[in-house]
Amino acid sequence: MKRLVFAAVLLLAMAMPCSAVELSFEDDFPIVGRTETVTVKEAETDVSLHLWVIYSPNSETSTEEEIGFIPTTGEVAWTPSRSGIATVTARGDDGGVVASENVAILFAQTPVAGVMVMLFAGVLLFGGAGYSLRRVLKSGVPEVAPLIDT
Amino acid sequence: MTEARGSWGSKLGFILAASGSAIGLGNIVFFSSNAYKYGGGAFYVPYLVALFLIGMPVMILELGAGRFTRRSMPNALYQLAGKRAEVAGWFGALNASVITMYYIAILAWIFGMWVGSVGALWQASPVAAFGLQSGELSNSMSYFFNMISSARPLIFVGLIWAANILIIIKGAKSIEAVVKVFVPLMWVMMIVLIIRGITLPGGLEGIFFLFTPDFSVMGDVGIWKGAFSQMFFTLSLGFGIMMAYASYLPRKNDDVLSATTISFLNCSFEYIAGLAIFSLLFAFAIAPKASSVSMIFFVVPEGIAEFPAFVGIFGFLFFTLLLMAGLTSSVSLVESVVLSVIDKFALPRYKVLVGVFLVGLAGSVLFVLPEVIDPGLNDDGTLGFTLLDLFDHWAFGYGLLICGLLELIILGWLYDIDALLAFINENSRVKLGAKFKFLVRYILPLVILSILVLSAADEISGGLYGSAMETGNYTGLHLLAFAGWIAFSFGGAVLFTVLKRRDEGGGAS
Repeated sequence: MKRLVFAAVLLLAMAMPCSAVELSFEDDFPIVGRTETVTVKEAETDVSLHLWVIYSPNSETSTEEEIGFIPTTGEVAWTPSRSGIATVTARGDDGGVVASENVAILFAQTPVAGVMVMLFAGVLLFGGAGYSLRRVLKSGVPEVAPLIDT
Repeated sequence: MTEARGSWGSKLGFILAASGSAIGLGNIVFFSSNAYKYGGGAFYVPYLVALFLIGMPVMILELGAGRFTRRSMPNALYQLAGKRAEVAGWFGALNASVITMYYIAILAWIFGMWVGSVGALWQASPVAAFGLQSGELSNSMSYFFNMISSARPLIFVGLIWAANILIIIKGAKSIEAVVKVFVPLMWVMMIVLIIRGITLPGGLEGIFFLFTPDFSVMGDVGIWKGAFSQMFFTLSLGFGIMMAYASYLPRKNDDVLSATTISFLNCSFEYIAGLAIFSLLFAFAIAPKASSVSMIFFVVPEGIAEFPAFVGIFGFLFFTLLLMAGLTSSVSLVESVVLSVIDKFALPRYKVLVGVFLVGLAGSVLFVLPEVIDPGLNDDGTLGFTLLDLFDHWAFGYGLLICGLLELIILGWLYDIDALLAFINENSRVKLGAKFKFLVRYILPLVILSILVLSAADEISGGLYGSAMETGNYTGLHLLAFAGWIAFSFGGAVLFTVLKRRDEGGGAS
């Protein structure tokens, strides 16, 4: 279902002619839990637009949230709730996408669990590979006689 | 007439060839796609569990059975447990053939990107077939979609099939010579990409994303199915490859050591490939468009385009290595099918090669058909890409796990597993005992069966995969793909089993 929603968003995005509406972010890399200002440039004032975000688009863990209505100032406050890749879209009342932008959302602080898994996996995999490869090389060349089926 | 079976020149040659088979597009293309698809860290922890719970034990069994019988999978299983088991072996071999066909289609696209990497890939261009203007997609995306909607991949598929046949024409020795050069080079290239990725703003965060567990979604059975299927795929299990390769091994070999070495080498490479790709994914905030399999065609070229110098050279080198990584794996896929046929029907190698080439080429052509059926790029764009997505869902997502389950039931229940374990233990420093036997007979089948049943239940309640895809005028494509997979893999397995065996000789003693 989420995939369908994203598909619909993309379809509309592709169907739209090059829009004059542009989305920009206060920071190149927004941070989870920190309020970010999203600016919608050259939005037509007579059309009401809403800002949406799709977290992890095109994945099984994708979720979608409405950020809010875009006022005439063109600035909307947004507090990202998930880290990862996100697609922010501006849509009209009819759901039509007028602008879309991808952004990478950073963790609020270095994720300890992530660092632990990374180190554990690294030591385990490379340690295991090094140890077993050393043993293979130590065991030397196998018996010379080839296996022949006749 | 039975032809001579070759042997490996050295243990290192076998390890490199087996890890060359295991290290391929599975590590670079499929790992990163699946890791993204299933939520990064939410995927990586089940993936690590799968390595120890499923990956290593099944590989030990496959190597042992291959060396014990000196036969490819269908014939090894026949020798161990009779005709009933042979059906399962042929199912594995034919399911692997489906994967080989689309794997070679992906290699054909990689070949196209390789050709483009000397120039056109780095320049913006409109994508006429999808009605996109210049600049609406990144350069690599526009090049990719232009290519897959053209007829060029039809030629590339022929070239890749021909290359596969040429490499395997001389058997184990030629495979060994190729991988000895390319496997180490792939490691170097990935390390260069990691350095580039983590030195870009946001790159390091991509790495954290890959490893940080998200417990809120880890209860989803789909993620576990994805991780377990990835483990089977990346370690070339359930294909018959490891049995075929092990059949070339000498009598004295430590299968436990070989299995752990190949598994660790493979997953270490996947680890660094993940570091490289996720750092670039974050640095450029790329959300994969169309099937996530295509991610590799966008993310890495974007990263390379940001290199301070020698962009064309690095791009060319990257796609060269990707091509080689894919070739060493596709060679092993083709070899396992060829060996299965030779072992049963005692046909000359060249005749079997010609047959496999013709059938395989026809199948691969289906997956690169350039007709645009989804101009909005909501799903996969072209007819070939859509078929690839659909067949991948069944052959990769279900076929490998079904084959693994059948192997475990055959080796654990239909055959006297004690005899196989005793054979493995003869030359193994680590002895496999009652705990391993319990794992093989009870735990692993139950785990795989649970995942398959729960996934199938999801499939039934949520609609057959692909039913909601944009397929233009091709209605019912998802049903056709499902029926095609069943007919080719299951129907073909029954057919090959009932055909008269010409080689009754066996290697087991």
